[in-house]
Amino acid sequence: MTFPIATSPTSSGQTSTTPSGGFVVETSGLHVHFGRVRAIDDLSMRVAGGTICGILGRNGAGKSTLLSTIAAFRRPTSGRIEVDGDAPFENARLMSEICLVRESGDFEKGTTVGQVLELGEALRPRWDAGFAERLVERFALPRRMKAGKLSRGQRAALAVTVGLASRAPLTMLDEPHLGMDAPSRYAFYEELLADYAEHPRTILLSTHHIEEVASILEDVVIIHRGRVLMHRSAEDLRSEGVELTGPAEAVDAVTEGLRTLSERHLGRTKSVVVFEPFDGDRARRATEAGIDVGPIPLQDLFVHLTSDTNDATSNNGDTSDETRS
Amino acid sequence: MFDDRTPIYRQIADEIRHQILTGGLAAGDQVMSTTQYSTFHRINPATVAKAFQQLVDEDLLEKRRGIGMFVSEGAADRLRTRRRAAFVDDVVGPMMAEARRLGIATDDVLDAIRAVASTTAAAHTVTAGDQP
Amino acid sequence: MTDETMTEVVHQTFDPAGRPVGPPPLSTTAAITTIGHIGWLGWVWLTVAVLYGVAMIPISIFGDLDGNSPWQDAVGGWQQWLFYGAGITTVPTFAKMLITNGVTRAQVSRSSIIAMVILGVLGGIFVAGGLAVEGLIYDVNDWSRELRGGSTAPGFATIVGIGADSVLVLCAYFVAGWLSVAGFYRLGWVVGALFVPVAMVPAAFSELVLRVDVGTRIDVLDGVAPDLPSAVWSLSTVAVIAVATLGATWMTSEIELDN
Repeated sequence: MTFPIATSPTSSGQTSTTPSGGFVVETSGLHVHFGRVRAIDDLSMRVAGGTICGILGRNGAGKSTLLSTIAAFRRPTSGRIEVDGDAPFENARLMSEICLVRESGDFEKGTTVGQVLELGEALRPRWDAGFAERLVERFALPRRMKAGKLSRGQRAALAVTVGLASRAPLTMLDEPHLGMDAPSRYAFYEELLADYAEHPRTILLSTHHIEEVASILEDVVIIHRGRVLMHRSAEDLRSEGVELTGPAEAVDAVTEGLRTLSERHLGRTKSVVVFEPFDGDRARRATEAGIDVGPIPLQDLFVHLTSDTNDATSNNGDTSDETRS
Repeated sequence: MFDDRTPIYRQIADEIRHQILTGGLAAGDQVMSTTQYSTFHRINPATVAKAFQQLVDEDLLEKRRGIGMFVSEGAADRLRTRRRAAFVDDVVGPMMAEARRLGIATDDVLDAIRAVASTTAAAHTVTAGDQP
Repeated sequence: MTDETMTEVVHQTFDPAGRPVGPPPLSTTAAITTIGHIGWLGWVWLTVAVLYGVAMIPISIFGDLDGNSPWQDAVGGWQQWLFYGAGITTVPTFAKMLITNGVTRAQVSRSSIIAMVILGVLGGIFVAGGLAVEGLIYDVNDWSRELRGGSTAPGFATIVGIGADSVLVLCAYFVAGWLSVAGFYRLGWVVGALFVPVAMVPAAFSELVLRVDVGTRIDVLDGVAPDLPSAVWSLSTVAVIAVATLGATWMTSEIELDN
């Protein structure tokens, strides 16, 4: 069965309008506090169903807390989470259909790889045992080895195996690739995309290494100090940040009124990172004024956006508490 | 293979255009499916779909329902015509602007073009066909 | 997303094999908790039984055990602490394992209660069965047997009674362990530690009113408590266990997993 609507021309502004195949995730005014620490501090977002969405943030930004709260591992301090229209905490239907795997693995040390997979098969409604088997072979996981004896990379590969084989309509992977070596990571991306194509679902992938995963993402949510700093399609994010380099006065004239993320000076030359669509008339004026307009790498953009000295985009500045994730 | 500065869908579209232009993809050829493309290059399928859609809008690809994407009849010609039309704006204009900045006379530029043309014509007969 | 990739609607209610898609049934999760506990408890039971059997062979050939009960010594005094330990694993092991696999806390608790009852009954059968088998050995050797606690030549009814009491004592310890650990999760380390004595109430109660140490009854209640039929004490223990189980379920219903 095909969805003709999915093949109709998409509008120019790319938003996530995938028609089906995965839970919508929505939070509003979400707070998760640990004592006086506000790990999640008034976070509102909406992830469309059936998208692969990156949750980006620095260490301690609140990524892990957000994901574990969505997965009903904990209850929100206040605010609302809705997955497929309902609050997930203690909701039997949703909890069995939401799968969060974390880099730490969450595996009982004494259980073997095989037993971990048996648990998934017994408990996950859409588990695909054949797929799990293939992944175990691809990642060369020793079936009889106990989870406590696995290397960091093997544990991450096992977590990824569980996450993918669950086929949960909401699958969340919390920094799964951190401990994996490059070939395993590539294998993970390939398997993820191939299986996603066959079984569309909502996938949230948290990371602070944007570069490598950027291309597999459709949407990106950047979290900073427990809040959403930015929610964009990955492609928009790629084209929105530009670096302008040229004579200081000319650069100032062109960037007046625009949102700038950083400034550097070298003699009379000034270099400014602008975070706004920069094309057409603006780009022409800049070029004519002898300014070099260049794109900036996503990782740089991420660093600029989440640097603590950058108040242009950070919220209120009232959350001086250290957050943990 | 993709740089991280340009929207990927544009890079994908450029790559396919390049293949059509160089004959790597002939009219009627089937291009990789969204899924194949996505998995092979490790790119989100929505991104691939966006690139394909752009090429469909440009009459370079056509969709045959239930089968896949195919290179349209006359795609290479259309592409070449459009590129020729844009050649002055895209290539000659910037070149002349640079020449003016450097103080190179137009006649000298023309001489340089003729010199380059004669050498690349010779080279082209050797390397033609190597390109995919 | 486009064309041929959209081949399936995820919200279907049947999987490709035609089975309904939904949360795992209680039987599945209860089997996981029960088998998980038996995985190690069973080995302890087996080891004790084998050691007992191995010891009894030479003794019954060459020795004379007239007057006491080695089985009573073998299984008394320690078994309830295994159940306390099993109760403790309810949250850090089983709740974590099941919740991370998408099972609700409520179902974790129900599964743990089923495991507790099944394990308790198995423990009671282990105790009573051993006494019964030992009775046969004594009959064959024509020894007389006297249990600590004063029961001489225990008959079928006594052995069943001891087994039933064991079931309750073991369940009481299990729920005490469960309550103890749930206290740490719900109340933090300091208050949780202060809560442990409260959590031990079911265990202490069962020890006071039932035949602990497999057949011996503490005399504490003599003269203090009214002289009631043992069935009353058994039923009141059941009630205490039930209340404690409700409390443990309630505390488990808000368990949060660490980041």
